[in-house]
Amino acid sequence: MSDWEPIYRKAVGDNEPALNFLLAFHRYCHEIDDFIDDGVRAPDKFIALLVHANVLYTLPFFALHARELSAAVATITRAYADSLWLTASEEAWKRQMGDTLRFAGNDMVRLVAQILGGYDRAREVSGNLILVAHEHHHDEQGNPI
Amino acid sequence: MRGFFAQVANGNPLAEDWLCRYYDFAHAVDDVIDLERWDPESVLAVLVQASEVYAHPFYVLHGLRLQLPIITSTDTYLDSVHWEKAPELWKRQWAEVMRHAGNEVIMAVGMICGGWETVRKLSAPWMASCFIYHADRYGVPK
Repeated sequence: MSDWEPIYRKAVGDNEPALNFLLAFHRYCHEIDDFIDDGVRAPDKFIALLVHANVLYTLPFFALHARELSAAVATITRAYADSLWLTASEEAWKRQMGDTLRFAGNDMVRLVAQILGGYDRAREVSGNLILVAHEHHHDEQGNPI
Repeated sequence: MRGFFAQVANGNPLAEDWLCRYYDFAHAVDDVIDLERWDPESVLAVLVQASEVYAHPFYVLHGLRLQLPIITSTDTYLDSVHWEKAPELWKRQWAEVMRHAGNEVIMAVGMICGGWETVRKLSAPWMASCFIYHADRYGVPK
């Protein structure tokens, strides 16, 4: 079990379709990140990404809350797109902003927690998401990796 | 295009709207590949378009029936990407047909909205119009 899964389980309570959606969304986000970071220019990999998008967005939990979750996908993607140019900046404050925005995908976990358990549950998971994200993506000196 | 999609949708405005959006999405995918728009902004914009297409009320309602035609036609389209510039004439000829595989999704909507008679009425004329519009791009004889 990854460090993320206990947080996702807390976010969804006993809702298995929601857990399936979050785990699939997690994999999908990392696949996108690899595609962009590696500067991929291959139709096969792009199409594979789109097929995975279709599978993700046909999951029952997404279908049930499609309107809210699709809006979240757009805002998360926008934040991630901003993080790309910010993290490449020469200005320290922009790199810091970018380093925060690149974890925008965690907002999906917060939104699912909010839908299923209200604001209190979203607050319960939010802090841990930040801590685990930081731990996994920074070196011992706190530099982004 | 809208007039044809209206016939496929058989009076269902949600279906017609979804077809228009899926058509735009498919062409956006095609543009990334054909025009080599591999910059993050272009790729991410298409991925957002995907979520909007699959969050559309018509897809939410019929996603389980549309998913397989979407995936299998995407697979066929990708084969056509590999074959459309192949040295062998027969591969280019096959690719010329296979790149229109997305029409299977349109016909799946026709099946949902109007049944077999609608699909039979529309599929052949639609394929003919696809040929007339796109013929001879890769040296395939008319």
